[in-house]
Amino acid sequence: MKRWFVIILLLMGKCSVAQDVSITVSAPGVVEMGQRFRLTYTVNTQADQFLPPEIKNFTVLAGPSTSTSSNVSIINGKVTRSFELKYTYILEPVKEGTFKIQPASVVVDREKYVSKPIEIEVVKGAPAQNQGDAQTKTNPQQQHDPNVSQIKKSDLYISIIVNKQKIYREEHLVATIKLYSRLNITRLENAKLPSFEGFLTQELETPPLTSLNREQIDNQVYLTGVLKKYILFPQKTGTLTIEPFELDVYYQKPSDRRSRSIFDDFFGAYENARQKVVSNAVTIQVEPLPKNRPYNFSGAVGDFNLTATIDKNQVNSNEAVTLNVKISGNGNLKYINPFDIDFPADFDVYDPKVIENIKYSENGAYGNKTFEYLMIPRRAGQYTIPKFSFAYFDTKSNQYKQQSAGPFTIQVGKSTTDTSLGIARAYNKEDVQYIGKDIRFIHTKDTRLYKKNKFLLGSRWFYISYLGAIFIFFLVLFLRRKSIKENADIQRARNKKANKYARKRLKNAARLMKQNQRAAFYEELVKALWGYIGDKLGIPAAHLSKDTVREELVSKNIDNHSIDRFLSIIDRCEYARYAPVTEETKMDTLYNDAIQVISRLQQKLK
Amino acid sequence: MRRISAIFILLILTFVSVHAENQHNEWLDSANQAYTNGDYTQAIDHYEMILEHGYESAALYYNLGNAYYKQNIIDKAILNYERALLLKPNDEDIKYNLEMANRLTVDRIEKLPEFFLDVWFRNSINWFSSNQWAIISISAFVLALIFISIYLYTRKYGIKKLSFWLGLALVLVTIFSLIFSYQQKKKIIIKDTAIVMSPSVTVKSSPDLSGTDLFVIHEGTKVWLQDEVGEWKEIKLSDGSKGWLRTDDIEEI
Repeated sequence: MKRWFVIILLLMGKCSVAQDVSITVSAPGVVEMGQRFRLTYTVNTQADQFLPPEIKNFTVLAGPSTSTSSNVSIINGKVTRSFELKYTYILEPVKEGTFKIQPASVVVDREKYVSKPIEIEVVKGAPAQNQGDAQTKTNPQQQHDPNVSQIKKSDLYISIIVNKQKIYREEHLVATIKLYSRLNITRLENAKLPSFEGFLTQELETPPLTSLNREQIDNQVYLTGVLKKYILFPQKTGTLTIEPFELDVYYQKPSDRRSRSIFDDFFGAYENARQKVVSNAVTIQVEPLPKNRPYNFSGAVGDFNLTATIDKNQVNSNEAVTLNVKISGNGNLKYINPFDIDFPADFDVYDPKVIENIKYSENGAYGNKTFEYLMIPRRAGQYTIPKFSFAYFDTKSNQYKQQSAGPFTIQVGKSTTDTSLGIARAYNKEDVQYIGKDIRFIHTKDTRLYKKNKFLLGSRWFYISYLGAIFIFFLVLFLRRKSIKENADIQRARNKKANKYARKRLKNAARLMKQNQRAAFYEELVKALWGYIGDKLGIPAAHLSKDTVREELVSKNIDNHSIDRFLSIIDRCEYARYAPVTEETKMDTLYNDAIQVISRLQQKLK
Repeated sequence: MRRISAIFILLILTFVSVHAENQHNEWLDSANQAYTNGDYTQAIDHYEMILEHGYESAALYYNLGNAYYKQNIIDKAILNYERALLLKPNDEDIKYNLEMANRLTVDRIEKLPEFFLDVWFRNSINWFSSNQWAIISISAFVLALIFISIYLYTRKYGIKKLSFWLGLALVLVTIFSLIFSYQQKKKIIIKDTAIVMSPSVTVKSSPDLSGTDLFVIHEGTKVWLQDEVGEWKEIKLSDGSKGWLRTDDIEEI
């Protein structure tokens, strides 16, 4: 009190006549139950006396305490002074409601200046919107002093926030692990990350947690901080669960031993406490991709663009050509496989070089992936790399899309250094290269249709043909038998009659001999001999000759002597017929010989 | 008068049947055309239509199998290839495509080793179809009769001997081709093989839903039918394992 007086006296000496003295009051318009706040009266000059206000419905925790500040500025020789004297109370509400604090007053130069009254609304733990303005002036650390009671769940929690809960397989989602607190956090420890089962994860960089942000949730002000951020690619379909995130939080809480001292309240009688915080679990519904997937779909999901370039269109054989296939866009680029491109069979193609340039952000993975195909054409000619396409599932329109590139034409000239190889190749035949396998083409010829289950076996025609064949066989057999039989009858008849005819002819010949008709006699005798042998052997007259007769007689086992004799008689008769010789006796002997031969043959041919 | 009207009706019937045959050939042509153009669904429709009208041929089943193969309906493709093979047992293309289709089936079943005479006998049967064997038997029979006649009527010893042996051989050919023809016919009429048509079938130990599950077979697998009880059929796989399954799960070849 004495010191104050010294200061006041010092200042008073310097002080010029007090101009407009003003006294203002400031306090938050709305406070929560249990929240401490300041009530400050500011006077712009040195006051002689402070008449404190009547404070009802609030507990005065401390005060009034005074503080002064003075400020002298000299601008262009002009001296400006300002002075502030503050009386500060620290109050705590007792009950809810709107309360008026009656004005305080100061006495300056024996004059009394009165402040305005102020109204303060006390709410139950839900601060009004306009409190924020008031709070900014004050120390936030004190604003969020924890309650004396135990911390509530809503004061400190961690949540896993996902941007989508229903996605397609391989589509990305962003999971953010965020801390919400109304406590005075000092340290975070023992973070236990979820396992993200069923997902491929890629962590995103988050700013270090040096300071927390302020965020308003459900009309309450929270300090928030992003702990971790991930991009997740689900690898399975169905319901996947992201397990809770666990963290130990160290924070300051007011000491239980409450001291009556003002300074304890002021500078914080706090002690460290630890709280284990477990976040919520999140379930994600992962849908399979639609069934109508294109044949060339290999799992790319996202939004892509395909470009392909070839570095040369004209090369010589055995020179390298590069085909660059670049896929850029947003999605699971990492899992895009090299293409199946039908390179000409005469090209040596090496496995593509894959260049990935993928960045991760909240929008998922984006960037590009390049496949570099190195090809070496081995023969001259014009080749075409056919059009190839890339199928992906577009997550924007939720359907499959195709992007294609090509065809590329490459003119391959003959390499000058290639000649030796060309000569060597002339001896070096190549196997036929099988490029693909497919079933054989349909049959378009020989397409006669038959009634179902119609078989030749057992059908009418089957039996008819068999029976017909048998019938014809037996018919032929029968006819043949019959004709043989008839032939045999004729034979027998001729055989029987042979002797008779021969005798008749011989009798006739004998008569002619007596009449001495030589020519007629010989003719009759020859006829008798031929006729006899023809009838006897069954040889038709047309086939009668000496040879056939000899053959037949040999086959009938007639001795050569008799055959010779028989044939010589015929010879002699033939000769005599045309010879001019006239011998009566000879006719006689010839006649007797003929009778002898015939009778002998008659015996042997029986 | 009655005879004339009978002839008239007969003529009309012939005309109608000829007309129907033309209709089928038109369908066949349009189906083949559709297949060539890559419109396999239409090709399948037309081929099936011809079959519904009671006509068939090895080429028809083969083409239908091809169309199903192209549509990736492997079980039906196999079924039709097998049917084609019954009608034309020694066709290279049918065998090749059946092999291709069989590669796409799920089940790999080890085949039991077979007695070489069995294989030889079966292969011989499969040289020709039932009708071809029947024609061979008739021709051989006719030739045999001719040689027997020659044997009977000729007097020359060499020809007689030759025709005797030839005739005897042809009689044997007749008998064997008759047996083979009958075997081939039996294979078609008595349906003793089937193809699994359901994607996955559990084979039971008894013809009853409560039977023990023995093994699981998949579509396109060929099974041999052994016995039948109500809705259930006893089947045998090429590795010799047996079991029961429901009739709707398979289709007879």
